[in-house]
Amino acid sequence: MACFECNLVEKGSAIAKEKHASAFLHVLPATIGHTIVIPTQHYPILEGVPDEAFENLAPLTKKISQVLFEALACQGTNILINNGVGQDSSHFMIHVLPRREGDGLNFGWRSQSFPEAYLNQFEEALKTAVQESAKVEQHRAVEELKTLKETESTRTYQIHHLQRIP
Amino acid sequence: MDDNLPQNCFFCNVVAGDVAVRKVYEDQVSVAILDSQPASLGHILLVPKQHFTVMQQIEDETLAKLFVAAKKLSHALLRTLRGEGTSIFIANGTVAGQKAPHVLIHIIPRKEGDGIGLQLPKNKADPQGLEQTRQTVAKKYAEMFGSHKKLVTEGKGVTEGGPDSQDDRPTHVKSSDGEVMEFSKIKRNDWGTRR
Repeated sequence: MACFECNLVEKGSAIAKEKHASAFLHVLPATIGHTIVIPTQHYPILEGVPDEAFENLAPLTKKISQVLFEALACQGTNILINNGVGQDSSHFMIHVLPRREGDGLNFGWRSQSFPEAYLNQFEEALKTAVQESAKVEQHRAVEELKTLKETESTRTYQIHHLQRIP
Repeated sequence: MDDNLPQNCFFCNVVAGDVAVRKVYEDQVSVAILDSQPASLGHILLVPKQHFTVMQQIEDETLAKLFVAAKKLSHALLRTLRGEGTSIFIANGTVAGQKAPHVLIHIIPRKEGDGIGLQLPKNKADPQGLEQTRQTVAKKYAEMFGSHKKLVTEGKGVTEGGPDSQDDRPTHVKSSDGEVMEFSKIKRNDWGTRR
């Protein structure tokens, strides 16, 4: 198996192993206790992670954040996903970073400004993209329902018979 | 003024629609707006509708919905901007850079060399120290969310502890005649006869 994280899932020493997600310490930590939460299955980027698989990562990320507070007496945590840019691994991961006063980490950015008219245009384009992705999902759900019905219709005579009873 | 009261919280007012914002998305549990001080064009703040100070307070189900919404928005940003990537960022606690008393999920469009300070330094760690830390954290995890006892159930092999697995179940059962048995020693056939 080529992927470092897949190897971890298989035989690494974990902090927590659940059915669909596992948590490990990062071997090159940004801060002491830097933990990664990864799906058991291999997905390269966020867009490739199915919704259900991503949902499964949420509770573990939260728990790890809680545990780090208790176990390492940190004063805060950062949750970070570097998706595509700044991503060092081919296995999708969520970083959970314990934070302490003077730990040397300084996340931040300089805020930018854009002309109002430009922002208006951008906002509309983005809303359309958001709606489209919702439509795609709806379409997918409808398609799934159709296939489900088709499968059902090819089921045995017995079930059809039962359905007719009422 | 107590910032923790919803009526005084800026983002609770955003959710209530009392502040002029560029709203790009809304669902049952969240509202997404364009950050008025963006790190890059398209910087989104995903705001839970309910007032939570830090992520740890959010119920699992709501958090899962927020995660999926963040994914959807990240995808929409990538398509709109033909971007190279996104960063999703949450700060829990002042020391972590949290500025508002309402949990926010930042979704930031990224480009290589954009100068946005979300790079993770890579520090060499001594393997022994690392293993020590792991044990401390794993132990605490087991304490808080389930024992790390290994339970053996027939046909399933060894299952590691964890809330998703079987550790919430008792390790022993007591039958009506007072006999105490370990789960691991019960054969599958026994289940049928002992009901």
